[in-house]
Amino acid sequence: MAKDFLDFEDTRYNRQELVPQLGPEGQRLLGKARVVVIGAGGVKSPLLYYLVASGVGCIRIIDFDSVELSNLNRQILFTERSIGQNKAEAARDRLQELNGEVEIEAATARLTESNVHDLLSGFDVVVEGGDSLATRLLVNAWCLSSGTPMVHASAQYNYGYVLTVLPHSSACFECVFPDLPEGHGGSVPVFGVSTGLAGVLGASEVIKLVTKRGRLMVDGMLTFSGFLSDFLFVPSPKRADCGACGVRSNNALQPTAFGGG
Amino acid sequence: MAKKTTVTVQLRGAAEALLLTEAVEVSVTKLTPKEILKAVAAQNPLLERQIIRGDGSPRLSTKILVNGQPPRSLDEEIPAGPSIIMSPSMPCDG
Repeated sequence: MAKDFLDFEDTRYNRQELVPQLGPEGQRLLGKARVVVIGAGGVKSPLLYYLVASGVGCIRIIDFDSVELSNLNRQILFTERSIGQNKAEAARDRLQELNGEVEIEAATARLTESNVHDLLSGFDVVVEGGDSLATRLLVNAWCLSSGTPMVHASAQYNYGYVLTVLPHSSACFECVFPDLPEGHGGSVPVFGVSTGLAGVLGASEVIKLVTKRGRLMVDGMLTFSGFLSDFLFVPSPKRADCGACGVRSNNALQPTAFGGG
Repeated sequence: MAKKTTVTVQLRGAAEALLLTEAVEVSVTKLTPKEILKAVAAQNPLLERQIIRGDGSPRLSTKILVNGQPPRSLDEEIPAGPSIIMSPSMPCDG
């Protein structure tokens, strides 16, 4: 075994600091990073676990919803004792047990146009989520306006995907999904492992963003189909006619909307 | 009667979940992404809502790859014998 390995101090993060692409400098960048995560559900549960375990410096979790029994097949931050608790607060308490070195804040508000700036500003990365298409488009627009990179990970049935938005240099969420249907309003069919896969892929994107390492999933999405054991990158380039970041959109040039910047 | 072309479409995402198969054969009079999307959508009402807009045109959010690349336009004629993969839009996560 190399001498460097023998001399290495056995610390919380030493296994990942030994990864050449990360190293102590990558770990330092992780420790400085501030990440805001919208939602603490099926996808965000594993995503948050890995961000906290990896030593991201500061995380805000935004979720107004409460834990229900039907969440427990996939929302692995929670236990039967969590039922009825606010998800952001229950997630914070669980994650703080995992890593007390990470500053974790719970915000129990519902994200709206009037509070989006207060809730999202001051962070290096936004992990998108939300209970409606309107909220997703709002977050996308805010990230474009503020210039904040955004990671979007999603799952249904036994498939899912992840994509990253680098404002004004890559396709935004609305470039990729310009005309999504509204949610159907019923129970979402979803297999727990698919939310797990999407969440882990999302955490990987966040870590690459804040450490400035690796290749991001931009201008398309990395999709997976669990039952087919299939991973596929689907290209979806930036659209000149995009309603959110295109040449005629409000966010086309400068950060002005939402009072952000 | 217009001659129809039969093509195999590899399904991913909601299409694979709702139709319970990883590929379907569809017959279309014009071999274009638009006609293929409509033909696959017609096989399931829930899938149709995800793929087709209220005005009857296919959603741009639904991804279709022809020989591994997105087509320039949904009306573009596809060369014979293509590899086609379709992944419908996904409105929310679980």
